[in-house]
Order: sequence, then structure tokens, then C-alpha cells
Amino acid sequence: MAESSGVQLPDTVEAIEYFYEQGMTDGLPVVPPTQESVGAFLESGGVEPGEVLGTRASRNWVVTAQKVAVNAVMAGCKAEYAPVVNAAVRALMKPEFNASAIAETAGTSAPLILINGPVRKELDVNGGWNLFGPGWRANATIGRTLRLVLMNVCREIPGVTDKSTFGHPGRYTFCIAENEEASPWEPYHVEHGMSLESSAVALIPALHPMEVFNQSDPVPEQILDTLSHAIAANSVCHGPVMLIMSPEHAQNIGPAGWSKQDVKEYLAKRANEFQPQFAYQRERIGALGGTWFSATANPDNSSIPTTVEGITLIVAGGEGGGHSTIIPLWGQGVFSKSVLEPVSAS
Amino acid sequence: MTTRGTELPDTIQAIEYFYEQGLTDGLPVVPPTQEAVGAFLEAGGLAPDEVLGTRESRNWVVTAQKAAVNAVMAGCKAEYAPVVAAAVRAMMKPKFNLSGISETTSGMSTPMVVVNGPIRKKLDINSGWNLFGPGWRANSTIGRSLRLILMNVLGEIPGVTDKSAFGSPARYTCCIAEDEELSIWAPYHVEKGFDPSTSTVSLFGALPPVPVFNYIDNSPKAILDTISHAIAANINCHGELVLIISGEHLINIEPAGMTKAEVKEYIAERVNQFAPDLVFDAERAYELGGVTPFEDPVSRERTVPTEPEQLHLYVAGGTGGAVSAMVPLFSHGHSSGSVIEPIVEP
Repeated sequence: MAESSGVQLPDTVEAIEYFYEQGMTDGLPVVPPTQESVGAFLESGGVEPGEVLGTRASRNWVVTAQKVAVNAVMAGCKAEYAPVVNAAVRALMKPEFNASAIAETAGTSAPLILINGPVRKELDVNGGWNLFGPGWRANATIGRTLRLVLMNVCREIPGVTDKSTFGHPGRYTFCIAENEEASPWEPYHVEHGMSLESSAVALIPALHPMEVFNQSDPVPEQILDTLSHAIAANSVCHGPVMLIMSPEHAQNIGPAGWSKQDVKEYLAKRANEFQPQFAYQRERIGALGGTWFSATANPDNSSIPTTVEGITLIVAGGEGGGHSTIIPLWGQGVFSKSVLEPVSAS
Repeated sequence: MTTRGTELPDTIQAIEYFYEQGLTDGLPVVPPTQEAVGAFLEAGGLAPDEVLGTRESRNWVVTAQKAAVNAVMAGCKAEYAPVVAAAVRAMMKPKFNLSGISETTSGMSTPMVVVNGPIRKKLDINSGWNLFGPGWRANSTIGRSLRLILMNVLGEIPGVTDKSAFGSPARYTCCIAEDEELSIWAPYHVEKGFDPSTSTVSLFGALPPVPVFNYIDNSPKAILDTISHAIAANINCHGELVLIISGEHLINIEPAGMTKAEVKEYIAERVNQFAPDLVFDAERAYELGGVTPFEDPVSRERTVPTEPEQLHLYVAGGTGGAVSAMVPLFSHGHSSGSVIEPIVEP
């Protein structure tokens, strides 16, 4: 018999239907959580059921390890994913991440999990081909756990409290690893002061991914000009932006002697040079700055510069294909900030 | 329970069995029983061996039985069968070029299902808030059925035959409906010659949706200019494009009294006015022109013209938020044509 919340369910697919009827799924089937599987998940994470992973007093959010475990099992997680899931939930609940705003805003925002360190290989977290797509249980279910926690524990219900105009498919699940092996540069967590041997989860207030193509130039400046231009061209990318450079692009740039910092400085400089070309749209969204973006915008609120510090740069994706991905970040670095959380050994 | 003649001890072990067999997208599936598959076929008025589509060069044969098994695994209710069957028929049309969409390294592309007609309400297919996000079983599982069929029937295996550099979260599932009740224009399928009482699916080779904001100027031309400028600035959006107007933008466009055809003509005209000043990365990307036949490799003419008939215009999304959505199409629509297929309800 499958057990969940003390409810005895027949040992058939009816147990899956029960969760649909209770409105406790994202629309996709869940694994009925049993006391055994929830217990195994807690044990693997080295956490007590009543341990609080995060709170938000203004919303009456109290996220315990037990609630996370139940939702992680429902999402399809293996017990061994627990240390990563718990780190991601801790990051999600940090005040500076501002999870409620990301869940409720009209835009396309969704928490993006970035995993670094040895745990990627231990759990087979995909950092290569089909990076954002299906095919890897760890990516699919770790990412989905955050959505189920937001829905079932924090009560961010799509169409009810979650009033996103268009939402985004990344709201089902959004979890990637850095392709550290294919990168010419230090991984994200090392750049932020952690050791290469440690594992980390970074939670990024991401909007929609967009692909940028340059399949013709092997010259670093030309690839970076294309990427800078694309950042300038999409006004939502002004301000903080994440660049996921493909191994092919990165291997044309790093070995030519460019450090990560060099790349960021060049991108910021060129993006700002290109920006005026796109003034029409920028003025429209920028005037919005009067109420939203005043902390970062120019006095006339018409321009949001790209800064070196505002660029998140990682290498990931399949090891072929002359394109990279840009992801605008929600909240202009003001209303939400990326959070880096160590993954503790289980 | 029985699956392909395999006796499985209980539901949870059965779910693990499908993981072990590599038959999932990374998320849990509903173990398909003979009863559930039979009910799905019956609801669709389908014989098990009825062929929904073929592609000889790939040895692809999609029978109703195989579609039903994967739809049940995806979490579909039996009553979704007519929609799933129509979507599979559309996906297998040569014009759609499914293998191109699935295997390209420029691989954010995925089949996007758009449902029109009375069946939207009957099956509770979401056309509003969180349009592309989770929360509605019909959207989640109908879209997912196509991905499971791609993987399990057609052998498009992520990272193996499906060599997408980045993929897209929409590759888990991407199914929406038009908000026909909110629209001031004829629904998409009526525009294409179907009766309003008929239900249809339209299939597009879609990249992830990109929002376009205009919060500050409510005049119809200003909203349409902002949208046009955003299309022109994003080269992925040139050529064929799905444009989804939200309720808030629509209510401000309405006073202009423009027909749908007039809106398309206006946008196409403005896009082509804006584009020449904005394309830079286009130049680089289209040196690739040798393999993109719409490009003139001699003159390196850089923009793909946007013609009114290339704009697929829908009304959908939440009714608040001054944002509309652009859905760029794979290869600017050149190597994959959209398909509209009537839904046959038995």
C-alpha cells in the first residue's frame, strides 16, 4: 500500500490519480510518496523531518525538511539527490532571492538551478547536450521539486496566486550543471570563492533562455560582438544577464588567452556601445524605470547599462554548435539576487 | 499490472521500471495498463494498429497503440485522445519536418501544440494565466505525449540522436490554447477556414517564448510599434513567427478598430522598416547563409523579410500584464511548416 499524509491508497495507478484530484501536481504525474521513500530521502540528506530549511514570515512560509522530502519524492527524485535538493531549497528561501516575487510576477521568471562540483558526476546531472531539455532524471526531478514546493508548501498556485501572464516552460523544471570539463575557465562556484572539490547549487532568478548564433567566426572578438549585440538587442537583457557559452564558442575564446574577467569586460563594453541602436524599445521599457528600475537606471530612467559584475558567465551545453544562450535575469539585480549555497555531503 | 506483457509488482516499482528501461523524459510516468491504453484508444475512436503517421526514410511508423501507451505514460486522461491523435498526425506530416526540429544543434526547437475550438473548454485546456507553465493536466500531458513518442517510438534520444546544444524546457511539454472568448478577432482555425464549432490543433516548430513589454504607452500604434521593434531586434523572430497578444495589450489595441489582417500588415511593414538598422548579429549568423537557402550568399542580404502571412496571430495569456509573447520558429519557418489538423471526436 502506498501511504502519503496518512492516507491509505490502493496499490494501483489510482494513487497517482489521488494527487491529481487533490490539486497537488503541476499537471504531470507524481510518484506517490510513502513513509519509506520519504524517510530514505531525509536520511540521505542528513536532515531531521522537523528541520526548517527556510521561512518567510510575511507569507507564513515554513519549509521543513519533511515537506521538501515529500515533494521531492513526488517529483521523482532519487534519495541520493537530497543534499542538492536541500541546498536548492535553502537558496530559494533566502530573502535576497525573493521567491514570492519570482513566482507571482507577470513575467517569464523561474528559479534556475545551476549545479557545480563533483556532485554533478555522482548524480549524473546533465551539463551537455539538450541542456535544458528532457532525458536526465536528476535535472528533471531536482528542478521540478522547487516548483512542487512552491505550489504545495508555499501555495503559489498557477492562475490563483501565481499570476504570470505567460509563464514559461522552465516553470516545470529548470536545472542544469556547468560543463566544467569543457570550460577553459574556472567554474562558477570557484569564481565565487569555493574550492574545486566542493559542490554547490547556485539559484538564479532567470527569465527565458534565448539562443544566439555565430557559426562562422572563430575570432574571439567577433563571437563576443555577436553575443554583446544580442544582449543589447533584447531590452529585457539590459542590466544583469546570464551568458551560457557553448563549449564551441568558449574553446575559440579561452585558449586565445582570454580570462573570464576579460570576456565579461569586453561584453559589457560592447553591449553598452550597441545599446543606443535599440533605443526605441529601450525607451519604452526604460520609462518603466520611473517606478521599477530607479535604483539602477540613469537619471532619465531610459537606459540600464550592462555591467561587468552583472554578467553571470558559465560554460555548458553540447560540445558542438556555434551558438550560446543568453538568459535575462529578473529584478535588475535589485529585487532578486542569485544565491550560492554549498551542497553538504550526505 | 501489465505493460508489454511485463508483470510489475506495484505502482512505485512500476514507475522505477520505466526509468530503468530509459523510457521516460526524466520525470515519472504513469505505468500504462491494458485497461488504460484500451480506454484511451476507445475515447479516440482508434483501432490499435491504425497508423497515425509514417516517415519511410527513418522507418518511423506511429500506430495508435504506441501513441496511446505513451499518452497514458505522460499522464493523459482517456478523453484527451482525440487531441493527442490529431497532434501526432500533424507532427508526422512531411511539411512539419519533425526530425529537423528534433535533431538540429540549434536545438531549442520543439513541437508546440495550439488548440482551438470547443474542445478547449471540454478538456480544460489552459489559455490564460501561466500559459506556458504548469498547473493544467491537459496542457502538461498532451504536450508531453509528443515528447515521449519522439523518444520511445521514433528513437529521438536526448544526447544520442537528439543532439541539441541547449535544448529547451519546452521540450518536456509545450501545449497551449487560444483564448477565443477574449479575442476581438476570429480564432486562428476560423481564419484558416475551419468552422468555429470544429476543434483543431496547430503544430509549430517552436523556440522558447520571448516576452515583449509595453507598460507605458496605451495607444494601439505604440503597442504594435513596440512589438514590431522587438521582432526586428531579435533575428530569431524574423520570418515566420507566432505572436500571442495578451488581454491587456488587446484591450488597448481594440479602439483602433483594426482587423487581424490589418494588424499583421502593420506589424510586417514596421518590422521591415526597423530591421535594417538593427541587424548586426544577423550578418554573422547568416554567413551561415550557405546552408540557409533564404539567404543570398552573394549580396549577404541580411534580413529575412517578415510578410503578413508569416505572422500567426493568437490571443492568449493572463488578462493582466502589459506583455505579449513572441514564439520564434525553427529556421524562421523555412525548414518546417506549421500544420493545422482537425480534431476528430468519435
